[in-house]
Amino acid sequence: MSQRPINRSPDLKRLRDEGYDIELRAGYLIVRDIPYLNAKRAVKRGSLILKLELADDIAQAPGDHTAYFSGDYPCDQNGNAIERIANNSNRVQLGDGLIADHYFSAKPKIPYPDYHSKVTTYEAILAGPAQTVQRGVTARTFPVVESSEAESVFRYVDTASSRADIGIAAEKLAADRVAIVGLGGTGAYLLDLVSKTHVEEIHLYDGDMFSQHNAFRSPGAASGEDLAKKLPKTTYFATIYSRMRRGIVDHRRGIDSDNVKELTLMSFVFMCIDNGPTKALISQQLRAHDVPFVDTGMGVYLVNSAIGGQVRVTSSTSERPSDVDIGSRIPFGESAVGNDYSTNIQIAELNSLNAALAVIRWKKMRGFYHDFDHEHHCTYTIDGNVITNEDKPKAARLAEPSLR
Amino acid sequence: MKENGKNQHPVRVHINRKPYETVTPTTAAALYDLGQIPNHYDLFREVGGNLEDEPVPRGSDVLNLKPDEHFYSEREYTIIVNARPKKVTDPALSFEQLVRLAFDQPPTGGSTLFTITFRNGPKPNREGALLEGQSVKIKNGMIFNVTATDKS
Repeated sequence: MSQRPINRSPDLKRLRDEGYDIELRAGYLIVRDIPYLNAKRAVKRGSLILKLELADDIAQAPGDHTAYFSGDYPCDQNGNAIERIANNSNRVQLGDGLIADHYFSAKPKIPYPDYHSKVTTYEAILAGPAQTVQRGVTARTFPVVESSEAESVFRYVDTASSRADIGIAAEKLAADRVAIVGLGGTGAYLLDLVSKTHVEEIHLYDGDMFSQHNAFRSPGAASGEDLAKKLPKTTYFATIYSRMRRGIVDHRRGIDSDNVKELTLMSFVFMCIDNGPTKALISQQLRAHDVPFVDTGMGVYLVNSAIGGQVRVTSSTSERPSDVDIGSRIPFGESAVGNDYSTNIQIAELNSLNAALAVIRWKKMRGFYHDFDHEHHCTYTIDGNVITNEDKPKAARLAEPSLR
Repeated sequence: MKENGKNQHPVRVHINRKPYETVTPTTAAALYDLGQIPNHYDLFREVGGNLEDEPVPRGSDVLNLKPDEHFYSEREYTIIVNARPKKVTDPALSFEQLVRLAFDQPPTGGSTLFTITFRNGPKPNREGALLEGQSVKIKNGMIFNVTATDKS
């Protein structure tokens, strides 16, 4: 069923967002799972079927106050039929497999202004008696709302953005084809966040396997079986997140000089790798081709049995100020090994914070969040809970978000 | 306070460019008293040439003084670097000095890029991030973090 008329009709959208199980079929609005009490005072569920007029896929005001109903005749708390809404109880075929058992007429003082009002009024009449027997029983069952490939990158509708009415902001991300280079702790949390946005494609690059220690720095909870499979990291994550959405591309390898050119086809790149020279290779290619990117990294130490350190997000866009060399922000050199200044401590919440800061930065560039300062370098210091912001362009405020 | 008289002879030294008559050998504590060095200040013994001046810690260490030796006191700051308190006497520290303060064995060759952040600094730079080659004025209680930020 297309979500288009529902998305375009505020009353239908409201019903869906509030959790009603609605369907549009054969010119009718069907609302399922309406609780009611039958003559034996048992709580049952039936469907309201309302004639629906659409113009250009937008619901018009209800033409009348009547409704068809599929189920037993609804009763009051004593088991007596609710007479005041009775019209007739002739079984009718409404078309396309729709069958109604009863026809109701609940005339309001003023005509129903929209379908939300009409549905909730009928629901109250029918469900009220049921609620005296089973407290809290409701038609708002929040069924899974599937969506078709043509309509959405998700396998089921993003009702979160719909309920918050931030769909218009969420759409700003749809044009992107992003790459996540490195599916370690930070990359995994980045995928977890980016997968829930409307981006067309998410390309995953990493040459490593998903091992036991990775499970402790990844979102979700890997099972013992998952670990035993020894999957490539990209495959492990692509499988999980493809349950929710299309467009995840599992490249099954990391980035090196042979394939770095693939990244120039992206509209945005997230770098989440440890290797300095690879960062340098990618940075050089992307800057030469004007592809914006964000680099993440953290440095953490153990002193006096407690942990401190810093988490960093550095950006590159066409408006990055030229007076600070990006090589003095992003470590491009070989990682030092086995010294006290290069520990391998990483902790899930720090990876998660690093990913969250990177996603917020990217979304600001796309106009999803307000961004007055356009900082291109940010650090979070653990022992003081401080965020610093550097590398801001000279213009105090830029009118357009930076786009490719 | 004078040391036990054996083997002591008089000597003149200079503390903060003022001449003082005293005896040698003496103790560090005695020298601090002599120069009336206030709390939070340390004495340093001037060393010729390119070598760094030698700190003279407060205490009962025996000191052998040379004629006309120069001592001077400086302000001592206690700052935190990577969760450890450090005492420094420079009123400003450079990126490189902070790296050396942070690590017992700093990397050689300059290939490791560090991220340095600070807070509780003196106005106008209360907090921020430092770039290679930059220096920052310090004050007591200033907190620094110096790490490579290359782990993902």
